[in-house]
Amino acid sequence: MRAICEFRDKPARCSEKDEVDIYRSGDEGLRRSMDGIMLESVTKSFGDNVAVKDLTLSVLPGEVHGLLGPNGSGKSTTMKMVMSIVKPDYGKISLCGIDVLRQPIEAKRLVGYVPESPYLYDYLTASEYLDFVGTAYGIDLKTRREKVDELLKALQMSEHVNEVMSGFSQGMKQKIAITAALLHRPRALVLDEALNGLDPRSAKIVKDVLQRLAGEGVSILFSTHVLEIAEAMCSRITIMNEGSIIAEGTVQELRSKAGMPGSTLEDTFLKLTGSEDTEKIVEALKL
Amino acid sequence: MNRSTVVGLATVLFKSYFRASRFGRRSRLSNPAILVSLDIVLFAAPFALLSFLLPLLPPETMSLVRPLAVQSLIVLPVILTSAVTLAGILFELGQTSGVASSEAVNWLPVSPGEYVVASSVSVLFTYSPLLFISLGVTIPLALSVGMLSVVPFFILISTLAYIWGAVIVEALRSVMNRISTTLYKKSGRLGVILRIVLVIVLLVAVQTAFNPYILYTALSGIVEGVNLAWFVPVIWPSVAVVSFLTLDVTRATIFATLSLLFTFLIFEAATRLRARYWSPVPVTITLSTSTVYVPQGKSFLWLDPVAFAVASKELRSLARRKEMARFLAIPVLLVVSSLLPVLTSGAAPRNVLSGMSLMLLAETSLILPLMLSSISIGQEGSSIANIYMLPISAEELILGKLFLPWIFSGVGILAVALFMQFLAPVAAGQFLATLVAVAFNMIVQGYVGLGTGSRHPSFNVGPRARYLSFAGFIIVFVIGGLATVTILTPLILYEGTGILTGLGGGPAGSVLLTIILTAAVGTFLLMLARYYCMQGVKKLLSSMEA
Repeated sequence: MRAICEFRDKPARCSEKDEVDIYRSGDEGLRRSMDGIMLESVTKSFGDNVAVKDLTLSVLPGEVHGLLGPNGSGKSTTMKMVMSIVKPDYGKISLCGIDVLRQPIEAKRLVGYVPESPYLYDYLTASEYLDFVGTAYGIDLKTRREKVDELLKALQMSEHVNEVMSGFSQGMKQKIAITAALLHRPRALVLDEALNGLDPRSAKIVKDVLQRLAGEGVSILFSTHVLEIAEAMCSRITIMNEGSIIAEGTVQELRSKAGMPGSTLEDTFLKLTGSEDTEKIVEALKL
Repeated sequence: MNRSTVVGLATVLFKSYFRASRFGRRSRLSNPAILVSLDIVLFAAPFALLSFLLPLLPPETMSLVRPLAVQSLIVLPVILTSAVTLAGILFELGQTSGVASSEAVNWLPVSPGEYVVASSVSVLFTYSPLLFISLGVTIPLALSVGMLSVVPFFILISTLAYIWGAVIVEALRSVMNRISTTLYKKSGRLGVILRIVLVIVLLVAVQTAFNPYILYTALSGIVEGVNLAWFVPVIWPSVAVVSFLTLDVTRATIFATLSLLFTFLIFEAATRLRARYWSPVPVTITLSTSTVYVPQGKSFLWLDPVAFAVASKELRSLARRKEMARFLAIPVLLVVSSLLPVLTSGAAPRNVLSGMSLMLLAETSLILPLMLSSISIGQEGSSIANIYMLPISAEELILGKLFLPWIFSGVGILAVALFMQFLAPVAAGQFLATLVAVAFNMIVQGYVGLGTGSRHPSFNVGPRARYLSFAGFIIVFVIGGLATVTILTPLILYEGTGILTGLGGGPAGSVLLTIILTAAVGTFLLMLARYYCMQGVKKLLSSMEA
């Protein structure tokens, strides 16, 4: 009960073990009080371009929530707003009960983020970069060493730990970005096309790690263009188009909404986003 | 050699140079037609002005114009070759890997010869204003003293010398890339340090060479020694011009032919080097032989672990990125270029050196912290995303970002102060008052620089990136300059005018009064500057531009 009381008072100070205990207690009310990721009527414009329109979305603890949509549909902007990297024009965003606009630093301590492009410091070695990230999250030296060793070994990056990252391939950089996001055992994860460039083995490991973290109550907001991955990993999916949500639910619910029961997620997605004319386009190409 | 391939590639390289520069995609100079128009203006304007003004000069002054015209005709070819070569080297040193180069040529059907010609043409186009303005000044000078016959020959030879510069740059690029790769691969951390030292030495040497005083001395030497050093290829175009001027047609023809042959020789060398080091070898730099990961991260001086982590990252950025070397070279350059004329012109009077000491310290305490702090946000480039996504507070970012500017400036100021104290000693009290003033100035400038850098950053990390917008550049130097003058006012009143000397009950009292006044003004400005900095950083961290 001590953990539950502390969680209600100061969610940011609730320990990893306490949180897992709360999640596993099966108490739905308490589970919901952990909040996860919440967006309420969020709008963001860049000049005349409305990138995100009145978006309301929630990612519950233990949920892998897929965010799908064509290029420029507002997925990355939504994720950046969750990370308080981009400020919304209107609306409210909370992470594990913390208002990200009012307490961005507190919120960032609880979340791990893998951006669309891994903007690492090319002139640092992998270990120096992970040290920098670990220090910013306030992880002690011993834990940091253990976590970094464990994660890099799993992703087959141990041998490159002292190499300057400018020589890294896209996939290697992605592995470092994923390691950095998982280093502090976040309570929420925001992954913007995080599996891009990973070799099959590493992609499988990351997918399994994410499933395990979700099993322990971590809220995961996950965007991808690989619909097979979304279908396999996500418990709920939100499809965005031109800044708005056009459909939301489980894969089954989306199929029903599209009136295509038994179809693949790819067909459902194309129907819902109004881009099912791909065959005609390919036929018209004179290659 | 496919002409359309060469033209297409030259256009790509030329445009990418300008578009990757500080002007970005908006750079109008990336349009060849605009650059050609600019070249015409740069030639026509000085040509017309001098053609109009020179005939108006009294006849007796023409005796001064003649040697000037002869000197210009002789030294211009050498200057053109050196200037284009140096500009090309500096460009290469300043460029961030990948930017402004077309990697696609490595897998497209482009021969080394085509690449060398295209790249040389793009360099020639890029620096063409230099050629046109030089000709626009020199030709009317030559015409005014009746040297019409030499002008066509001179234009031909100067253009040849100008082409040399571009082709030499091509050859050096291949060699430099190869050396850089080898150095990195073989020696890891030592290679990184060695490269940064070499770059600083090179930058200081280049900038010193273009110091007006040094340049004048060197050019005088070239004119006098051009016939003695005839065996040095770089001098051949000048020897040809001298021979033409002295009506030695045979010698002029020989050296003009040698110059032409040398053009083919360096082109052949550049092509062979390009063929040999065609595709850049991917470099893997390991900075430690051990694969054991040893975590770092601790408090240091007044920095908490997060601020210290930011400061460590900044140090690595400064030490490992070759484009950052020029920011380290500036203080060295500042001292060298200010002292050189004084030290080489014989025994300088003590009062001159004493005045120069204050000026140098004021410069160092202004420029060094201001420059390093104002670029610290922009130099992050797209990696600034890390600062946004990690839980780093404004206070931690400020302390981490300002640690290096303050430490480097402190060391630089102390070194300059001690060196000048050795050259022209002043009383201990005066020395102390000066140190107090420049210490306050240094801290204030750090805050002003970061405050402005966070409000007006330029995240363009292309060649010669400034990391600060043009508006920011103006603002930072106006505010910084005003702050320096204000903080140094008590010291200037004491040292320069003697107004404070009579106050405070004797020499010791007046020094104390100067220190107290400086500290009061400095503290007030420090608080203002800190507020300015904090607001700027908070604004920056509030939302990242998408």
